[in-house]
Amino acid sequence: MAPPKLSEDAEKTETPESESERAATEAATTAVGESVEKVDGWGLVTGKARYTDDIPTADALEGRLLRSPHAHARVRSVDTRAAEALDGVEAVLTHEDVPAERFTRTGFPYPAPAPFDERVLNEQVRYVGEPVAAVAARSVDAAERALEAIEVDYEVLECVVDPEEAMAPDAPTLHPEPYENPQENAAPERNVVCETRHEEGDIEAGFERADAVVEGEYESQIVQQLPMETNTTIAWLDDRERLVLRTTTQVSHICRDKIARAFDLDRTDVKVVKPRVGGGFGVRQDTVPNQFICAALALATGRKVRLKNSRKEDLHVSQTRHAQAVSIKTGVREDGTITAMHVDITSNTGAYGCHALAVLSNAAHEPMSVYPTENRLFTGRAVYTNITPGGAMRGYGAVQGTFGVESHMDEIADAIGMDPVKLRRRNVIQEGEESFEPPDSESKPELESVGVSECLDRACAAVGWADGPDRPDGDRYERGYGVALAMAKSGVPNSEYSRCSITLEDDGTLTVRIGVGDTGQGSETVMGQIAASVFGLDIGSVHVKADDTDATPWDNGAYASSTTYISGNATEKAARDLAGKVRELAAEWHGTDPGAIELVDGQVAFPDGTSTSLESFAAEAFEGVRGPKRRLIGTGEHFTALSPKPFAAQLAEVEVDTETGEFDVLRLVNAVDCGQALNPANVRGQIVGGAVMGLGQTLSETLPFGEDGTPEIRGLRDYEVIHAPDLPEIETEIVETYEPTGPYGAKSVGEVSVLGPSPAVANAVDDAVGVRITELPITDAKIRDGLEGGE
Amino acid sequence: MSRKERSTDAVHLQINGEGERLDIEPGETLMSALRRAGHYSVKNGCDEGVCGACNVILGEEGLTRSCLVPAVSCDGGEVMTVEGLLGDDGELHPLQEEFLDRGAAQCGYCIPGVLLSGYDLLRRNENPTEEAVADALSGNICRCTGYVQQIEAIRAAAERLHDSEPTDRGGR
Amino acid sequence: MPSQLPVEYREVESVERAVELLASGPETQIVAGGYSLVPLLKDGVETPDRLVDIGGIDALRGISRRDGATSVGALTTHARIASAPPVREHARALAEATDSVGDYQAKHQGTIGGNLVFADPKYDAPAAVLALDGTVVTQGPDGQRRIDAEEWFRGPDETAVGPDELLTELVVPDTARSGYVRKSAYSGYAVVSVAAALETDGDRVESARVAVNGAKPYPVRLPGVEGTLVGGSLDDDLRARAAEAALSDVDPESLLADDAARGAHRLRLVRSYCREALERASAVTHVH
Repeated sequence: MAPPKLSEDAEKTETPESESERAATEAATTAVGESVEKVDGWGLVTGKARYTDDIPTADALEGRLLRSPHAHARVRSVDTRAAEALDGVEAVLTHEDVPAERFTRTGFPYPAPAPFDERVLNEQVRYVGEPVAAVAARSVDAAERALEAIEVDYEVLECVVDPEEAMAPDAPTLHPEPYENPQENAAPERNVVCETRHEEGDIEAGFERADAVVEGEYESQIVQQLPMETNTTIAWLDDRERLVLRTTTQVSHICRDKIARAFDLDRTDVKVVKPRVGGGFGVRQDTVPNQFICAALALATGRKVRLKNSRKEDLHVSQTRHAQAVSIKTGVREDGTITAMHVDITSNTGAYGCHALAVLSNAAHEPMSVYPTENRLFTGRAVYTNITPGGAMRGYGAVQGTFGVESHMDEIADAIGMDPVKLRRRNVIQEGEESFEPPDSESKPELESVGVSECLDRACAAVGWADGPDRPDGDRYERGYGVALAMAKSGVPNSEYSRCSITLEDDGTLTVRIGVGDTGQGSETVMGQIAASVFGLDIGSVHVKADDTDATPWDNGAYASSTTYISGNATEKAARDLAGKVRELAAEWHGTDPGAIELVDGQVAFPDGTSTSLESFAAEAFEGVRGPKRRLIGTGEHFTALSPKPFAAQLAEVEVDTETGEFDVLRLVNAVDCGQALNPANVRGQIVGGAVMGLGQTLSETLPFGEDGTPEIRGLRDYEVIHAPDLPEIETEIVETYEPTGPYGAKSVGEVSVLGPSPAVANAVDDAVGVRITELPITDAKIRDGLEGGE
Repeated sequence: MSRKERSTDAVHLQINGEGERLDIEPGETLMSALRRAGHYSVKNGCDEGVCGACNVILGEEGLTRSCLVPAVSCDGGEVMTVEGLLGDDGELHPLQEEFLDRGAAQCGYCIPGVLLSGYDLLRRNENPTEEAVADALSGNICRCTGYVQQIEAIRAAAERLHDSEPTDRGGR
Repeated sequence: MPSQLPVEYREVESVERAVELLASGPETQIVAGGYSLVPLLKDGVETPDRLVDIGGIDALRGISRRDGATSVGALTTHARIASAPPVREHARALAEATDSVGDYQAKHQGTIGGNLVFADPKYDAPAAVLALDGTVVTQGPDGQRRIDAEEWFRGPDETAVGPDELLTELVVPDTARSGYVRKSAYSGYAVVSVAAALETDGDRVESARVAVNGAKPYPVRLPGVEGTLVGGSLDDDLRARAAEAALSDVDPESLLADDAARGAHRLRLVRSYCREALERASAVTHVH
């Protein structure tokens, strides 16, 4: 069912009334714009916060999964008799015991832009670690003995791990059975999930007009979201036989929907609880095997089942960032104007096609948007291979694409002998211009707040780019500076839907019900700030309820940086709707006009100069002294074709040892435009956190797979994530533009800063020693190679 | 009870100053036993001694990864979890306040372990440099914050503790 | 095994008792800090039926001097070794190696004994021990053995410790000039690490021991480097030539390989870190 199309009125418009509303409340705003403490903060620092597994589970069965040791195999048979006979074992499930209908785990509202190519348990397994059987037992011991007792007869099939090889005619076919919901130009017989082409203008004519044509290829590696809490689900049937999942999710409503569909349950018989969750970064956007299988075990046993992935399991089988090969060809004039740009991407989507098309598409459209040009072409394809499926990871393709485009911009600058900052200024997007959106997106691409140029100014000023930044003398060590521009989004146009309901309690406090998927980024706090600000209340007067699908209206959840913009707008509308009702009722009581009543500082203020506290007002309304008993509720919904873009300019300073190729990132400057910063400390945290995650992709993280598809990593000790002593100096500059369609002028900020570090560092290394690394991660070995190659 | 003759069913510990009897399962780690007993602030982030989410202060051993410690070895010992930072009247420790003030906790999963690393640092170094704080956190993985605000919060807490009047609560 | 750790767990207060338990009864392994062993137990790589915890044997902790050598108890932590004046003065490479441990908690709770028994190519101490001509002392049912470092590191994941033996002590003879350096991984471990120990008369190199960990799965000496150094005059040119001679008879493709470095890259790393280790050793001028 497609989300409802709302009238134009549903979007934010500037009416005289709302202007004065905003003026009035802005004067009194105590919450928005301040770095208020997170609403759940006390629990976080005292250790009292309850994450998914932080409840008594003595009454729960322990779930365990038997995982395929083969990258590609058909399960001929599974003998579970011995396992089932073991003492303490309550259920052993194979593909024969779970629904056979196929679906996609991809976390968008149904149907989602991904092929329905997987089942709860598959008969054909396509990556090492794919679940083959599931056990629920009364103890860990029994569960593990049961796993050992299951006998699987595999027909081992040929596997393929490289996307180019996978598309070759002699490659094994991962998905031979036709499936529903195939994506654009799907050719699964060649392991192609989707193939896309998007042209604007005339690309060949554009190249003809160019004075120079520059080509480059850029590759990025597989990394993983690595939230500190592993994928965990506790599932049970409640006292009304409803299936309840307490699970690590960022999309509770979508999760509920998918579980209900998969098991053919009424939606009303499924409830998803999202407790405090230890990070998401996109891995929780999907409904993952851990969730489907735990639900299956709960349904099969009728008991509570706990299934928590170990860190090693998650490292091996949890979603990853798609490895991509990005080829770019650009035509440019002598004066630096880009006349044509062709970006071609091959994306390795792994065993299943979740997010294959959407990540592929985003990888080109976002970075290409930064430089509007009349003639541009994007071609790409996503390919099945026998490794862990790619999924959604912060940046969502734009990390790989930005590494390509922003490295490429410096190569263009080099080719025509122009300063790379000047080249960017020549071509960068301006206010009023349009972003490059996928052809079917139905978006309104014209951008109203575009702070990227100011971001670039600030980043350059931080290192003194214009006058020539510091380059200490010395033979052996060279200093270099590199810049990158980045653009993200505030939700997927015409796809995000959020509804918020706010109750004015009879003591003047507010309960905000909205299904946001806060996994640490602070969305509940931001929603609370928005609601509080409309009334001039303190954040402490607001309770945000977001963790239970029974209690909240629909929200797509946290992905595509949608929460502040989409859910925030819904919250602001709900608060203003409620404010309107307060004014109406107050006006009725006082025989005056609602428009003449102001809500300020938690007070209801009348034209005659008197006022009453919101608390008193609410109490009186509830008592019913002046009419029927009332407890006022406001609602608001938001659904839009707009997706205002946050921007960033990120600048890296590196020092390279010309003898060894070793290098240090000394400094990373991040100038970010996310509209108005509703919670500056929170915003800064998002910027820094994203930048450090981006640095990890740039310098050290990688998930290697063997030729036979086996994950080579032993555990977290082998995954090179950035630690505190590794940090460069990190500077953040919040460039505040005002996004007129955003709640209190805000855009989103969750992803933009993860995009720039890799090209910024690559550009800085090139600036320092004339070596361009086009394959991530950037290592001293590669630099050394480059140095020696040049000699 | 002599050290050699330990019960394998339970250990008796002082946890944040309170005596407690923890039932333990065979071959269980301290992290697992604490969590089963409801001490949920001790978190399982990796179960291989790398991420610091399971940190506790274990008696004289000091800052310890509880996932590397056999529960059975702890009998008679003292354990401090992050709950032990709270004052007698439930007041937050300056470390906790600074983390709250400065947005240093995002998802919060690493925070109990990080706070204990910070606490351990401030016990031995009243006035740590940024480098010393980063070194003290080298055994903690945080995927959300990028560590910067955490380092700032710990230094701010150090300054406050440094400047504050001596109180009856020794050792804090 | 179903439970994470062996069900049977004993604490001992003497080396003798530890050896008794090792030599009899169910398959037994020694645990101290747990940093090396416990993850291997959980992964099912090591599967003893019993753990013997030697953490209570205070006699195994500490650093002492005797007969021109420094003795380090097996339970001594990296942090303690790194800051101990006798080690800094007489076995500098070992102080620098233990100081390099990247994870604060591993540095303060991990032990030298654990490092030597598990001898992972990513550990710091092994190269220093080999370069300093350390002797590993073990206690077993047949008594005490003293094993030269070269004999100790036998092969990939293989040391000379007997199945019923306990590593009790590391003895390092005094070296006037030594140094250690490593290439760090973000995880806090070493990618490659090199230690150099030199005996000099003025600037003339009388003897040299140079060892690398992370090139092969076990630490090895670099005879090409040593041969170039001996008899020469210690200057930049000598150090450069000596470093270039590292592993010259080894096929780079046979070296350890991972995403940090492989093949020719790893070889180059060894050589440049070798040179730096030699520089560090040379810089020690306070000679007894």
